[in-house]
Amino acid sequence: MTLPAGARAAGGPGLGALAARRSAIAGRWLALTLESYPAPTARLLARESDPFRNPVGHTLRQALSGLAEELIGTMDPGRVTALLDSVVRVRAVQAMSAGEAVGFVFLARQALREELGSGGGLPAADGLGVLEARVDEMALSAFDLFMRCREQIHAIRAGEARGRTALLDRIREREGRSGGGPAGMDRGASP
Amino acid sequence: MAEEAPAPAELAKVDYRPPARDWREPAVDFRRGTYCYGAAPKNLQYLGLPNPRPWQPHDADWKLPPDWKQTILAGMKDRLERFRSFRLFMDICVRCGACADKCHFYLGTGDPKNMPVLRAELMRSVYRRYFTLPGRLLGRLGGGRELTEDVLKEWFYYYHQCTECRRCSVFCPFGIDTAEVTMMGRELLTLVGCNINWILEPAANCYRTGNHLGIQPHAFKDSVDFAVDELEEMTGIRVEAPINKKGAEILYVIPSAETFGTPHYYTLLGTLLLFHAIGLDYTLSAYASEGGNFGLFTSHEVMKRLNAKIYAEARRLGVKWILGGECGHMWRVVHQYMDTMNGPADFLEEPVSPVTGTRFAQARSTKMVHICEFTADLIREGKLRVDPRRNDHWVATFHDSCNPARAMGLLEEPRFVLRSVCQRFHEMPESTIRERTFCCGSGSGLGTDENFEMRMRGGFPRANAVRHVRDRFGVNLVACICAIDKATLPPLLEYWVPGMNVAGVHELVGNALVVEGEKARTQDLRGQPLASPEAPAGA
Repeated sequence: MTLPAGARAAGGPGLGALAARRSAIAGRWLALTLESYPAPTARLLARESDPFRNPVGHTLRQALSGLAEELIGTMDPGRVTALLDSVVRVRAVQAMSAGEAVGFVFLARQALREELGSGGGLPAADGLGVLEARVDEMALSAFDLFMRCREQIHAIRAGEARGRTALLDRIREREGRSGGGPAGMDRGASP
Repeated sequence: MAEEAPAPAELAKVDYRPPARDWREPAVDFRRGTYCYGAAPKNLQYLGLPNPRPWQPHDADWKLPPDWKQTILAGMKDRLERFRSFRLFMDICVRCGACADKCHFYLGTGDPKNMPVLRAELMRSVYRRYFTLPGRLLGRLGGGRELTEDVLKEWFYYYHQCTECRRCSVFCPFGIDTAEVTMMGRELLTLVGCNINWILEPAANCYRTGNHLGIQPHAFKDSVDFAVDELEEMTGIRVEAPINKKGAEILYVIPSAETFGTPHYYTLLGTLLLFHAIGLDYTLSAYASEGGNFGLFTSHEVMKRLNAKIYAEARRLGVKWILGGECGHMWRVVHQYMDTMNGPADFLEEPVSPVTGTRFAQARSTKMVHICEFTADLIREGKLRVDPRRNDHWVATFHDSCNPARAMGLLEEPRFVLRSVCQRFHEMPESTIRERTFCCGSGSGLGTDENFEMRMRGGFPRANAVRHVRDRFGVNLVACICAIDKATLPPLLEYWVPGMNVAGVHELVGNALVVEGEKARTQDLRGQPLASPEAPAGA
């Protein structure tokens, strides 16, 4: 995925001034994302801050906060990927279509417009363009990650089915060998 | 006149919010990856269960018997009269919501019908409609719901999204055991032939040959002999592993996966070595070759039939008492149901450790002792020589398996054993262990690959806590004492916490055990190099 020209420029035009709004943008983004869950669940995901009593809500909160920082910050590829992965990995196994699973990224546009519009601190046209290009970049990365998760699910499923009776196969293998000792185990060099 | 095309701005309006739905609407979307396949007719036939026919949950027509509704309602009436707990659990819930956010399936799916209170309400609403006066008179206004085919399908869907782990019941101020509501739901579904194959095939196999995979006695012996051979290669010690030995003091019952699956197998190696080290007079049984009891996930009747074989074998072989291995729901069956189903086991003796003389008074009634209780006693009494440095390549945590932890209160013994044989051990957060442990997400017969997505959702709270101790303490091994955990935690953690390993407690015991006559250990029981290989004796 290539980045639109200028999108990665650290703190593009007018973006420096947005640092103070990061938490509000992340909060708005989270609120919009939670609307993709049924109402009672959305309330739990928003309310409970304990990471172990509310693992999905905590994951979303942490990730969107970090991603908002990257949006108006440096867009570090490693951090962006890790943060996106934490959310996409959850949504890739939840009852969502592919579009719904990665669609939360586009809600950042709405969050930016609502937060920056209401505060009167909308950056210059160039700044908003940079932000929107960054959202697009994140969305494409999210789709790549979604595909990776789905492929991983199929690979693990297949491996699980094969591995369930691996030991029986080894025993059969030993019995099939003429005059040989026990078949080797998957344990590297023999003792 | 042609309709006016919507403006681009209108087209771009996408509503991500799910449509508001009344929970009483039962229609279910059977999305592949989130449900288990229907039971094959041969398995129902073998167990003598009703309505064997080919069908799948995603079929529109479930081929129910014509009188299915009467059958379900009559079955419900019968159970309400037979099981006082069932009627109580239908009546006393005040919907306080204490259980709502305690279910791993609710936390992982976000589906409100996975709140234990609402999952139980799927049945309570039918109970009210047909068995209470307000429901009979007022219908929906009285909190009742008609029993329709869609409701039956909804029961099937959600009562197989509960692993009967009983975490919610820990938090219920009225002590409602929502797992028992699920059990009743599955029993009623069984009356009209709506079972899942991953439960009924092991149950049918167990009924025929004694274990889940249908392994016959000679193949069971082959597997055990294989373990004896491999153990000799690794340790230089040839252990005895008697099968069907009449007059042995103790019958040892394992989950059969220890003879064919990994990492379970390494637990078998550990226990064989342990019994050799203490000179235990024991026997395995080629028929009671399975502790697991998938009858628990089917009906009381099937559970009773499968549990009976353990005691029948104890009687036939003439043992004094029974030792049980690292099995999960076997212990729930033994601890909570065996005594009134097949007990009292008055032909056996109250278990006494032949090595330490300790009397296991807690097993006075069932005559069955958990291997962790047995080993903890050996260590506490100083009867085992262990070198915990042999587990230095592991940084371990302990996952409390639901049934031993919540159903029988086995909380400290496995920890005591682990801390004795492993130098680096870290607990997961308190709210995720002991009585409040999170299920693996695949228990109660749901651990099949076609249900993979649902398992990943349900297992996320557990994996999330594992990830925490990995990041904080460098944990690289989850120890546990349940065969289903050992089968299903590896794929769960591969998805959520890559690089994590899973082991039985007695695998680590076997690693650390110093046995007379053994050769210098350079590898652990799974053949991985030790952190500090030992010099050969005499070097």
